[in-house]
Amino acid sequence: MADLSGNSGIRYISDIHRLFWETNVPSSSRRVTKTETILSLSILALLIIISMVILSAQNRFNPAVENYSPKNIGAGAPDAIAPTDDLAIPLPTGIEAMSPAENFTPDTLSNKINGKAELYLSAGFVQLHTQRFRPVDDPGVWFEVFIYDMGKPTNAFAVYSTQRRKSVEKVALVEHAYRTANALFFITGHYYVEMIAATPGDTVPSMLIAFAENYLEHIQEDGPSEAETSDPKSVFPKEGLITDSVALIAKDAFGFSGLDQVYTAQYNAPDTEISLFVSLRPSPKEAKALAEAYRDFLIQFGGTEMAATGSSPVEGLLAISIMDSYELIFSRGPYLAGVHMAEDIAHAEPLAAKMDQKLANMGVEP
Amino acid sequence: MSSVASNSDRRAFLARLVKTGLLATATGIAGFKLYDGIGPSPSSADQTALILPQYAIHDPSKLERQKRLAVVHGSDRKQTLNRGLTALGGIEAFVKKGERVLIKVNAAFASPPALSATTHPDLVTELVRFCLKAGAAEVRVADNPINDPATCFELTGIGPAARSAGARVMLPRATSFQPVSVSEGRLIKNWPVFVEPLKGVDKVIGVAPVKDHHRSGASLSMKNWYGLLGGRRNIFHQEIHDTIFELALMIRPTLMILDGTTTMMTNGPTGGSLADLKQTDTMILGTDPVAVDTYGAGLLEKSIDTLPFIAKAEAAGLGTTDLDVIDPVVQHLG
Amino acid sequence: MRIRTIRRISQIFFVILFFWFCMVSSLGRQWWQLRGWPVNFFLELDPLAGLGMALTTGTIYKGMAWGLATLGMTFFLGRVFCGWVCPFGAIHHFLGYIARIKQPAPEKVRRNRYHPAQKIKYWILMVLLGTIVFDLSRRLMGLPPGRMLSSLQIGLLDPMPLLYRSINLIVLPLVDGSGQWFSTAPRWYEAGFSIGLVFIPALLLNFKTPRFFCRYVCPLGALLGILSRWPLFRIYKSDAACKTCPSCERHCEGACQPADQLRLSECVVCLNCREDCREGSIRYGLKTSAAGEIVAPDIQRREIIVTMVSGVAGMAALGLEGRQGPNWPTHRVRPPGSLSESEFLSRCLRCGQCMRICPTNVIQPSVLTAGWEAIWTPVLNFRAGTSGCQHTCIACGHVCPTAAIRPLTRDERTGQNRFIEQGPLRIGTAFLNRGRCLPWAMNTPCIVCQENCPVSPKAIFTRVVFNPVKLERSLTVASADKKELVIDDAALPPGRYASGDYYCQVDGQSPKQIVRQTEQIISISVAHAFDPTPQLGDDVQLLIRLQQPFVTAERCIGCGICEHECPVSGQRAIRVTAENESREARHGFLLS
Repeated sequence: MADLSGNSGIRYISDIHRLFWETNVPSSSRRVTKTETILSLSILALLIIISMVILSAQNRFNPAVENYSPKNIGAGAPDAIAPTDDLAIPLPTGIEAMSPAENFTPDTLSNKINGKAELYLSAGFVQLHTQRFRPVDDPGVWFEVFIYDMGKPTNAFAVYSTQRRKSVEKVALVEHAYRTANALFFITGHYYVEMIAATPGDTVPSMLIAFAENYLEHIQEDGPSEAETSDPKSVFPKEGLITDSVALIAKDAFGFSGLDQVYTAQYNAPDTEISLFVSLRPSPKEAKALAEAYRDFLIQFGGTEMAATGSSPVEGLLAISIMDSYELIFSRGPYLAGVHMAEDIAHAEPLAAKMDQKLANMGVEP
Repeated sequence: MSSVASNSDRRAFLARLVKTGLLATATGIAGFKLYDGIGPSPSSADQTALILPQYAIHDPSKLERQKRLAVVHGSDRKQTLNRGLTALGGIEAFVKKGERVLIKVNAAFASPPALSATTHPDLVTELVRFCLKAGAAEVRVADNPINDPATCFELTGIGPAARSAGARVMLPRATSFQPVSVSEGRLIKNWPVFVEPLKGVDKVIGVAPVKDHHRSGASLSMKNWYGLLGGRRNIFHQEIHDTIFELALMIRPTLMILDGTTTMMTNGPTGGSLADLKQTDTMILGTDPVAVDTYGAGLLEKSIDTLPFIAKAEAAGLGTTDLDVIDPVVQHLG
Repeated sequence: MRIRTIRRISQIFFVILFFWFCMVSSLGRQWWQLRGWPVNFFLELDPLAGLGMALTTGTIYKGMAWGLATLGMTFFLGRVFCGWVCPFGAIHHFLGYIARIKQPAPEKVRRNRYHPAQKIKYWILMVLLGTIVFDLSRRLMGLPPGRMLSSLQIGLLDPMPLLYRSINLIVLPLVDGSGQWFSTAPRWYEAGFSIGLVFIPALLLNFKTPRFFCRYVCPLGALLGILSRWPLFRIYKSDAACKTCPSCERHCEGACQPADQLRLSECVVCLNCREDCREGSIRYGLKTSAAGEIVAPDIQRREIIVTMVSGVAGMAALGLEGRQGPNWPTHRVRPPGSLSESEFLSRCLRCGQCMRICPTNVIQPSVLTAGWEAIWTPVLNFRAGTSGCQHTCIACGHVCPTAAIRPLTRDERTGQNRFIEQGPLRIGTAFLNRGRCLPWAMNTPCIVCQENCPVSPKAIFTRVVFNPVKLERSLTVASADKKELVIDDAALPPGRYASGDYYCQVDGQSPKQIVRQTEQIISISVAHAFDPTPQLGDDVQLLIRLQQPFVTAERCIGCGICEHECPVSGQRAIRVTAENESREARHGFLLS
């Protein structure tokens, strides 16, 4: 074993002189081999991969972030109101709260909206915040805000669409919003919001819209917005579709308990409208089974199945005549679809065919 | 470690490869075994709490025509105890040969026997003697006092009395306590209880003086088990009656001896003056805690309505307040 | 492309990544906020933290398993973590580089010579591991937590927690100062000085010796040094070409003597020697060095024993202070979701992530509050920050790398749905100090605490009392009607008693609210009337209507918003202390 202290010490001293003269020589005079370059580039690639993995990780929100929204965390803003007592958002100038906020759970919902509660409860209702507001300078024109937390955006759409009044004015607020003379209705994320003024008036629409805009600005969406890719709404053929007629029935569609999450849309037909419906089931087998179950249900209530005419291009189309109307049912892949209560089968069949064609175009296997 | 030949180079490299490989594998295995993807659970106090066994020999819900309560009037503790035991069938009815017995005394305060705040040492001596005569393999005397344990057992005379009679005195230590839950209760949950003296014991006998109590109204036989609680047990004073009731659920002893020879009528539980005491010359023995305490309440001249724990215990089926049904044996000594 | 260039790129990459993670650690959805950025990445890579936790808890929690990758890398390649990945090391490296610009070569070589003091880092590692012995033996004996001392002290000098807390708790707030790009309000942290006392000298000492911390102090480097006993790849000197000039040691980062017998445990694989060697004699590969290697660190068994025992003894001495038992510190309010104290201390790395993420800046590093053994662990200070602990916020548990603070769900925190029986999570209880509270002691109306109490029903309620106002002289009626009094010979400050809180009371009648008041005339509210009308000479009392707060302890969750809002700005009139915290059954004082 070399004696470190003695030997190398002398060596160091003698070599220091040599170094002094050689400080000008560049230190890296080696040639870089191909192996070294390949290795270097691979490590570089590894670093790039690490960055990409990290970049993709940042899309999966930390649960703390999912939970976070300014209305939960009082950021100390001067006019923010403490949560649970009020809507916890700063009010627009000129508006003041008229009463304390109220909160309703599924158990207490009917205390507020009575019989209508059933509609919400069957659509996944979570809770309701209500509060009354009024302009400071005109207290007579007060309005009440109902914020229904429906748990999921599709549930909010369900209660929104099934209650949409006819002949309303569309509002350029969010994608789904409309107003009547004294009220404003819209959905945002998984909330369905109604703002109903005590009296109609000239100032009412702008006041409600201003309040809604302020509200939307201050809440944040909980999580990424709902994906549209497998949105059943988009399978409705565009031709003949009456605008804004798409609705979602959360439960017990057409009186049959097996039919839930059913989208309906209205189509123009000579002298009348025709209803088309579609529902995405978990698997093709279940869609087919549900079609048959619905058929059986209709027969049970007095319907008669019509023999297959053979002329319809829709494979496996079930046609039932019940009371004074016709019901067409078919399934393609995991989609259950059909026509509901058509008066004239001659117009209903082509519509069903169009639906089937649209599904086929989307790549849905029969 | 210099090498010249490439063979030994290779061998050295392989040796290193093996060592590194083993190290890496071992680390990998250790990591795999120790991996925890779930994380810690909310409460470390999720330890399973003990539920104490039953020591009673009579089922209180069955009202048999046995002698379940004996009341002996007399001023000599040893004599009244003797007569009371005989009336209930003798010590042999309670302690069998070879059994281990725990005598749970009240040694809460470092108070002399004359002040009647603690169990009288004469009772301890006599009872230990009886148990040993019945063939008990071991007799333990224990309590978790409020004041310093060693001092309490000495100054009350209980320690010397127990030891001279041949019993083993068990003082509480940090390791003597384990969490206990009363299954039908809501207050005594996962609470440290002085279980060491109970380990391996077949019979439990409680011996307590009759005392007034500022907080609960009276300290009788059911309250005796408070002395088994550990931790910062003062918290239970917030709901004292439910606590005493749950104590009666927690421990069903073989026999209770309530010493009403000198009763502390006021200023309980510590008393402190002879003026607080009254010579009531009564020894109460029984297997029905509700009946025992009902009789004891009478000595204190208190109505059982003012002692809600008695009613709660009766409602739970631990015994009866109706002394006519119990039909106690009452005897008088000269 | 030279490998050394890649090493430099790698160091820069990881340093930038580290600073990026520090900067984005604030709650929010924007790209420059937390989102899903894996901000604990470097803590997870740290095998010393993982090892410590494995010894104290017998588990490797989730992401901490990445430490195994670092270990694997070290087994095969040597201390590449130190030279290529560690951001703290890169900072030292850079500072050392700056320090030696313009230094002549002999001076550089001299500073890179191996120094026997480099074994101090192994001593430090042993001492830190020694403190774990109580946890370890408790687990091996099968005793439940709390029966023996617990403490994980590794975080004190482990470079990853050290760097995280230094950057997050000192550098970022200083930099953010007036600009406030990272937070809505200026953030401050209590232990700034003590944390800086370790961090700043570590940086500055690079000007004396390059990589001072890495060579002399770093326990992680020590651990990796011990574990790189048999690396497959290492720096070696091939005999033939070496001219025995110390050129290779000019820029040697680890002071590992590549010119001589290479000290494997000190080499951080910076590859500078390989670049500097003009003969091409120094290589990185599978062979052993021609001049020989020193495989193990230069410590003796005796030193190992002494240092470990010191760790054990130090821990025992700390434990005697009883702070994990009956002498528990009252003001030690831990973040919501914290485990019971002994379990908490076996996991907390003092990394400061919880303090960084807390949206209201109430989580602070403890200096003395929680005791010596818990220095820099998180403790809540409600006088800090923008508000109390928000009762629906679950952020701290979701950034804690070791689950010393459990990740909660909102439901568990607020006591809803599945947790409705347990009720909301409590971190302490508010205690009102009637001697300092305005309506209690100062005859001044105030119910800020009650207004701000966030739980429903509120944990603070008030009772109305009417207290007499202290006046210079007593008041008597000169004349009066049903709505007004004229005071005899008075000079009341006009309007003073007309704020709505003041009432006047005439003999035998109930107090009436004063709405207007001049020097001599008192008018009462329309809702009242004097009945009967006061007569000349009747005494008039001025009363102030106060709502006096009371705390309902069963409902209080200890969030501290009341303490934060209390206007008595020094020692608040209502303060939260750790009694009744959910995580410690022993600290409860209520039966139900």
